[in-house]
Amino acid sequence: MLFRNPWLLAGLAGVLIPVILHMIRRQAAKPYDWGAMRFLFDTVAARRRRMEWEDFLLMIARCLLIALVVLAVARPFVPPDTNVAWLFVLPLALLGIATLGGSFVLSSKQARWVMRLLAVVLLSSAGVLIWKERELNLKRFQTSARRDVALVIDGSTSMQIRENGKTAFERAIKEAKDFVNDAPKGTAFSVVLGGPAPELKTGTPLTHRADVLEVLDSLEPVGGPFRAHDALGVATLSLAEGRGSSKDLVVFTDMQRLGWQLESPTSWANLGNAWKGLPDGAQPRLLMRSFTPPEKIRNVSVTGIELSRSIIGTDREVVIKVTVENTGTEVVTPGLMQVTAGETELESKGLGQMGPGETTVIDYRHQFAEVGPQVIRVQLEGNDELAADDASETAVWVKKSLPVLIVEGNAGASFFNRAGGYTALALAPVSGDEETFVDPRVIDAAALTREELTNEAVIILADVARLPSSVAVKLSDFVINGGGLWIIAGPKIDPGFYGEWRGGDGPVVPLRLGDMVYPDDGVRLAPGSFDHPVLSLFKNKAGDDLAQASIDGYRGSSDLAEGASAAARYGDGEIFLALRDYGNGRVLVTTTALDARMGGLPARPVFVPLVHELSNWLAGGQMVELNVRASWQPTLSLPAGGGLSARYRSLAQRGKSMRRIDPNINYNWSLKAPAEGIRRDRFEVTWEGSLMPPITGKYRFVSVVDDSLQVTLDGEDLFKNPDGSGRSETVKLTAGQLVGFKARYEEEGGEAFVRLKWERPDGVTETVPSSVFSPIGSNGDDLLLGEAEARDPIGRDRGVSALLGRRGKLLEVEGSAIPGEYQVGVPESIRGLLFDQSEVPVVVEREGGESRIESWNETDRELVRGEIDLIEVSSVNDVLAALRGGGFGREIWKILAIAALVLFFLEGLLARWVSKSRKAGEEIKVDFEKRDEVPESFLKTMGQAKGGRQ
Amino acid sequence: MAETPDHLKMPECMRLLAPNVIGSLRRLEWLSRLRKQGTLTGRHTSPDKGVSVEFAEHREYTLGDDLRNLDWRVMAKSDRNVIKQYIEETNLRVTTALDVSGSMTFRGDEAELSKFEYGQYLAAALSYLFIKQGDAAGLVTFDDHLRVSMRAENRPSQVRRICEKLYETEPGEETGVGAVLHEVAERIPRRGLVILISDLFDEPDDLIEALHHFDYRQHELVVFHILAEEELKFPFRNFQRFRDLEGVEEMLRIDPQAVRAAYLEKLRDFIGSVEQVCGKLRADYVPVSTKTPVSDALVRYLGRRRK
Repeated sequence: MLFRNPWLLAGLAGVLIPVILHMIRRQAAKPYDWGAMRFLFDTVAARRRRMEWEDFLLMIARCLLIALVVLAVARPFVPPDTNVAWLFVLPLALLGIATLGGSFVLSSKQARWVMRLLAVVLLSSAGVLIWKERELNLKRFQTSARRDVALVIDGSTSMQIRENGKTAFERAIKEAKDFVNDAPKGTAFSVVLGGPAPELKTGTPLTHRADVLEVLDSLEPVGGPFRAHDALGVATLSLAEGRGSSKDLVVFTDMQRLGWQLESPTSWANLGNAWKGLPDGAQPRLLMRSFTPPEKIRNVSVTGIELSRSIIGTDREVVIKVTVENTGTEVVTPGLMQVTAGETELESKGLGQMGPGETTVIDYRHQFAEVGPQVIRVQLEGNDELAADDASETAVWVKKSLPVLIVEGNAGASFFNRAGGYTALALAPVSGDEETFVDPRVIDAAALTREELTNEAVIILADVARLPSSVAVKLSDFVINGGGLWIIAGPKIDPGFYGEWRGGDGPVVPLRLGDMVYPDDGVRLAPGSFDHPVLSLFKNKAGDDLAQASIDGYRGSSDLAEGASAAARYGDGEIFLALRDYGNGRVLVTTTALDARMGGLPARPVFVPLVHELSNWLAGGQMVELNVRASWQPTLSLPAGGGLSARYRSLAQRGKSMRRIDPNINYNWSLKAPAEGIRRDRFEVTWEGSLMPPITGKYRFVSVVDDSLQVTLDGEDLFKNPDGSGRSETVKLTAGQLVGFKARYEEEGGEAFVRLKWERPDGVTETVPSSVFSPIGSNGDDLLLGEAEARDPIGRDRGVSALLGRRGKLLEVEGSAIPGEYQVGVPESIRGLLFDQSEVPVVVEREGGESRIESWNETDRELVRGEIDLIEVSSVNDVLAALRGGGFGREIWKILAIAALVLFFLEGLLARWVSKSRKAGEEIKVDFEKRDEVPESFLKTMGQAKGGRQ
Repeated sequence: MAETPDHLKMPECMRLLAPNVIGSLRRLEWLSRLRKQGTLTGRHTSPDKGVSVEFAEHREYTLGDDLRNLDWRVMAKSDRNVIKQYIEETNLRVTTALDVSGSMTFRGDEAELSKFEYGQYLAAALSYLFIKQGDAAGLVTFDDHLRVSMRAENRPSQVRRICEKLYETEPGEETGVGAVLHEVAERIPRRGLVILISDLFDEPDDLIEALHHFDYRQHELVVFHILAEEELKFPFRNFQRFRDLEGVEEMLRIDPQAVRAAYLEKLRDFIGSVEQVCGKLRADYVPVSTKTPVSDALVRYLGRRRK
């Protein structure tokens, strides 16, 4: 308990007024000679104790009355998270005052002094407690002339709830402005707009108020969740730049739980530690001005848009399911729902009345006519208080076709013996000109070396015995870059090759293939084992159809690779289908040839959908996800791939140079120039980047070069003599630990070739694959690939940059992620990755959770208080008070005033009761001289006699 | 105007007999309610059966009886020796007992006289009245013991002597009225009229016992109960330090308001019990407030008594 007007406590001396009055009355008692002492003594003796009690109570009541009034006027308040309970201190003080006052009416000298001693003890302990709390509070609210304040304004969807015509966000801005206007001099402000990603609106904290106000005026609600931690982090960073010696964060928020990471004590602990590390030992406080959302709220929200298929083509209809939920507490009847798919407006549909918590799903069927990235937008007339969540959108990439390359391993054989033939047929069951979504192309295994593999989505190796190592590397890189690889392990394959096939993400094949097994009566598929979602279609009747087929032979298998799973098995428990994610892509193995040699499976009606489902799943890896979660920046992840950043330079004077990304070091330019504009002889190439060793152990590097190649790993030269081919000493590398890589090749003249190979700890010797390289240095700086422009959901222009970094290839939109639809320009350099689109729509997802209002609870507060100094305030004035160092808190003067009022009446009652018990008011008449007994006539005669005499 | 010579001056003590009092008393007379024994035939019937006109009763003759009183007629009729007894009118022996204890010195703000002074005036006036009427008047003053004791006499100079004695009397310290009244009752020789002038401040039980003693001694008792207005009304508002006039108890510092009611009730009970006892003893109880002028008080009492 502290006081806003502590000097008014001097008024407590007023407690002495009744005491002094009492003393004066007592002291002023004149000695009076009195005869009827006996009666007085008798009276007093009989009533002394009672009278004393009455006087005692009255005196206490009067002293307390004055004390309460004085205390109330001094405006006591309970600082937040106080450690001295005011319900203890206040009674202590009042008791002290009561005993002090009461002691003066006691007649026994001993009792008087005992009471006074007690009063002194009580009062001083109350005083000490209050003083101590004040000290603590001063420490906590200590002020310094210069301070930095970060204003964090919650711009989340829920801040847009309208109450009394104003949204919480508008009120927050207003209060923030009031605060800036009234803040003490020497305060510097930084402004952070919180949303899914925080946006620092000011660089270093600003001291010029007009600037701050201008920034505040420009703020618009962001929408989406308020990721408080990120916002606080940004605010902390900006505070660290400020020069004030005390630093505080003021958060204007509705305290919705979502986004505060209240499940994670560590993140709060980290924040606390970050704060402890601020310069000058400033201990920031988190001042929370909460705009609690109303208890009752009418709100419906569009919580999701789902499509029935993951790969959408123009070939057939897709079902769009829109989920609408009443997330409020009241019954709402929403209006019409409008859905636009690309440019096409679909029929508007109405929703019925929805009770709280009720969910409605509305289906739309639509066949896309256009190919390319498109947006499905849903707008619902919500008729509710929170309009921001009545719209939703999702981006889809409508594919014209799914290019599938089937590599036939039995090119010479008859159709019935060709697995590739059956799959090709299953993928494109209609012949002729009719347009099909899947576009299969069958080639001979030998032709694979010539393929570029740039347009393919899925490659099916149909019983291909083995691949040349260069092709194997090319294929594994293809998968790492997001492609899909389907290995049909028929009788012709060489299990040894497949077992040894490794790429940048480990073994390519999800399991170790063994010898062919030919069960006597064949074997059937077991639909009960279809555990993977890819086979979810076949769990029921369709699966029974699959199980009808008898399979004559399959390859035994063992050792599922890490991350791989067996999606389907035969009746005898052996694996039929294994799959895994590999890099950005996917790999799938079927352990039997899908042709007539191995039984009737390709003849079953469900074979066609099975092949479609599997290839769709494989293609899924290559899809660029246009719907991104709201995070720091709207960012598209693109198929990345490894490689090294290369710089080609002619060694002659004024020689040209160029930069590009090379997959690895494996070139034979022979007598030609390495690139356009570079001379044939006397040039140098520097490759830079980093190397991520796939396994731990000793590596030996081998160079095959003309003329010289020097390679440095983390600054250490590998080859003693860079000229000519050579072998290095062994180097110990640790899996997953980045090593800085730099190679310099120099060509003097004649033949020009360069190749860097390694002998891995597991004995494999190969050209160092592209997948272990990354063009960014081990220092982690991103490489800028190109720039473009984007338009965000509220129509502002933003920069776009294509980056290559540790997180892969990214298309990043500048600024924080506001949920909604972005039109993002694609820089030239990476258009190839996005099917030559110059602009793609990107949707930053709205998060449904924001619509469900759930505020902080006590546990949350405790958690946060455990780590940081959290102060909840209820007005701007409190914030100001906290800043000025005065402290603030829950005012309790009203309680005291009420207590004083009650005591006032009580005192009145007590006084009345006392006076009644003393019969002070009663006119007690002692009939003494009875005048009426004397006859009038006699008195008359007497009067006459007297009169006569005079 | 020339100084009045000393020997012609009225003695200081005679101031107790204020002219207006005497004026009032001139027309009044005291009628004894009891039959009084006395040597002079006067206005009062005496319990002594003596030579008189008024027949009282017969009684058997015993040896030594005066034969003059033998009722011859009865003897002739019934041959019984019967003595004829007459009611004797006798003069009254009045003893005024004045309480001069400390508590009687209380005057208060309203009255001109303290209770003691009032008692002096009253005693003087009564003595004058009785002597004037031919009765014998005596005086007893007492505090915690007898101070002055004058036998009742009917000489006219007795008034002056009484006045002198009264005048000389200084108020004493303490009283237990009860105890000393026993002594007074014993000291007054024959049955007669005892006029007790006192504030009667004592334990009611002691007091009542003492009053019974008077009855036992067959005195006719008139109690002038003198109280000051303050004592009757307790009008104090502010704290007072009450100092005991009788010096028995120490000082008392109290809030008068707090005890007023209780005090007054106690006083009322006290007065009531005294009055009741007086009624039982067929004694006259005359409550007098010092605010009432002495003459008025006397006139009123005597007027009442005449009924």
